[in-house]
Amino acid sequence: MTASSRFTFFIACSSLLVLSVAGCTPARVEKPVTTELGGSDPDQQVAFFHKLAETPVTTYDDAFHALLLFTDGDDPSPGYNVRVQTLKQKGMLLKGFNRQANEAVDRGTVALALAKALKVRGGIVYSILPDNGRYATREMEFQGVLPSSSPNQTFSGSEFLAVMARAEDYQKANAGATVGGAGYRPPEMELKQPGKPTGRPVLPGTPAAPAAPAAPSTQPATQPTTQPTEGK
Amino acid sequence: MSSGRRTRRFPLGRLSVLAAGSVAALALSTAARAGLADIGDVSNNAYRPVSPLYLLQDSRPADAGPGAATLPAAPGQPAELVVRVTEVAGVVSASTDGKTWKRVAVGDTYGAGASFRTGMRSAVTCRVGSDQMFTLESLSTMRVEEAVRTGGKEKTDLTMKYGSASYGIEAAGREYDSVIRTPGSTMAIRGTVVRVVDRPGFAPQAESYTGRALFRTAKGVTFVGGGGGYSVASAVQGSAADTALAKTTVDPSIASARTAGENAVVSQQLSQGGVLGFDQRANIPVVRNGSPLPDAALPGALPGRLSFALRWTGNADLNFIVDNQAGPDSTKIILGGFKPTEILFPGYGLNVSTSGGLIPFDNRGGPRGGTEIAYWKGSFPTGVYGVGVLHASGGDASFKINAFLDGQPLPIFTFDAEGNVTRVNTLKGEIGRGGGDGAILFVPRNDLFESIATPGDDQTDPVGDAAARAIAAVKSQATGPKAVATTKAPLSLNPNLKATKMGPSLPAANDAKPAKGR
Repeated sequence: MTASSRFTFFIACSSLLVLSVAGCTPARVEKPVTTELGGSDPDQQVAFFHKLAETPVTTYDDAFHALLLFTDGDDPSPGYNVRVQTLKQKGMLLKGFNRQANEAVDRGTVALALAKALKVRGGIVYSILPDNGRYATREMEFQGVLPSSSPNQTFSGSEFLAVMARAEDYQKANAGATVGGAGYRPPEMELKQPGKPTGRPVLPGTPAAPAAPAAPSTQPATQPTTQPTEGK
Repeated sequence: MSSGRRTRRFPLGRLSVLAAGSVAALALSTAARAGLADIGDVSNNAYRPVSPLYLLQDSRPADAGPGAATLPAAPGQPAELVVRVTEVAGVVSASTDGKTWKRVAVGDTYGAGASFRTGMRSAVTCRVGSDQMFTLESLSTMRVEEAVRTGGKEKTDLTMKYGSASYGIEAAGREYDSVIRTPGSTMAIRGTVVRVVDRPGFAPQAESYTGRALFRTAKGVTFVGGGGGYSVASAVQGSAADTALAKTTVDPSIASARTAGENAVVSQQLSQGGVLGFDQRANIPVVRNGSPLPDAALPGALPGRLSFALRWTGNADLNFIVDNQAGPDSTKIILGGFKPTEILFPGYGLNVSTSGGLIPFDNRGGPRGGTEIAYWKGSFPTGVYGVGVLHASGGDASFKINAFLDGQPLPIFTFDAEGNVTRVNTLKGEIGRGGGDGAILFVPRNDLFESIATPGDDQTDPVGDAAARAIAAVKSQATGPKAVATTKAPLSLNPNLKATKMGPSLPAANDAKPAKGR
């Protein structure tokens, strides 16, 4: 092998090495949203979700905080490591999970966690390989919780929020509450279908209405109804 | 609490009129007039998913007057509609400047420029003026861009950055101009109840529960609803009809291998109860238990420029045959004897022709019959075509054969019972076990043959021709069929073509090359 061909071969290998290393490095975020809004206070929870929607990338810490809010309603974890331990104990994370808090989350990990949280039974392949992110991703796509995805893809903040909303809809549907669709009855339907029984108070004057209550007066009474007690 | 501040049009000085107490009293008296008995009891934040307490069955025209649901306005100026929170579930925040967010409570009032955002498992319902309301669902955010009343017209403009929301109008005698905007869609509402969903990663979707709405997306504009019931349109499928059709089908085979036009036809079959499979031996997709396409739907359902359709009723499996002899002069072809050089048959490699013809599936029938189609998507050979039907299995069936070029029916030439050449748009007949039938047609149309052929009952003089056919039918029962054999091989004018279960065998090689159609 001549010197020039060895040099060419070396350059080619180096390029491949650089490209492969660069391709393996996950995206990182300097400050996850949980840095400022990682608490359990209800107002902070709302602020967290909508701040997350504005971020270009969702980190593992943000995703795990959201998942714990979804499953438990709050997240008292003081930090990322505790969140990871909590999710592992719940079976929502694989025992060998060891990614950094500020790394971009992968869809396979989220799919796996949601499949466990939503107790999805899945198809044949998922049943056989329930801890596989690839098949968890496919299963959650089929369930309509994830959009068309690769398990290695990440989420933008708004995409992740959309997935959490779909997970909530899935949970409601499983609990018997319809969300959207032909069987759903939006509150505004009361404006259009006055004949349907609602169990709510009926407007006075309409058929089968109870006796109208007296309208509350906005003017103070001019005559006291009882004799005031004389002060001492 | 009053927070009607608007930097654009609402002078700060007017805030003095909107003291919290007077607004609350106004709301209370309005509620009393509307019959709301327990408005004060709603502030416990208990989530009742069916309907908020205040939504009563108000059949009276809205007589609350502009003062109850609007802020005071100078004469001739539009009146701002009050946005009043009527139900809260979970945690909901609102902001008037987009920066400072405060928890929302029932009874709070806002004006244009207010934004709402909901947390997980949360929702907020607001009344806009006296006749409109919206509900913002979980993990969603919405801003009230505009809410005004000018004379007898109310204009509402809502922007939902992401999430899902429903919206309704009471339509109590006023005119409404209401729009919900999302990043992926715009929905113009006309006195209806709608729900719109737009979440990143998922296609925007609009649902109409009553009334009609205009749904505009990057794909186009479509009307949703209007038929009185539920209707949904997705930005992916486009129209409400396409969305509904897509939702009724589960395609077990490789759908991506089919063209959009074929998918439409397959979906039509599957949506009517058909089952799609694949016959490995015949090497063709198979549909069973479908039903024949209705006449009105037929032209629009066919995917090619040049399309043929066989439809039948009766529990039978019929096979469709289409063959052709290409040439620039179809008259010459006929006079020289029709010798097809190309044939389409459902299966065994004969469902695709070299000129681009295709029979996409073999309909094996079912209790309601079925539909088979053959088509050329773009270019096609010009010349003479033969269309035929073979009875494969099952009982007796009634069939129809149609042909279309660019959506227009092509006349089909056959013989009537008396042996006269007849042209029809729809070749109809009865077929029994082991039977077959066929006819020819010209692509493009042949004026000479159309002028000498007797019009069929779906052409001109339908009454006279129908009577003539009826008389001929009676005669044919006495004398036997002359040229049209419903129990014999197809009328292909080529004795070399034999009707067998495996499909007709090709005739001797012909050097004429098929000419491409326009």
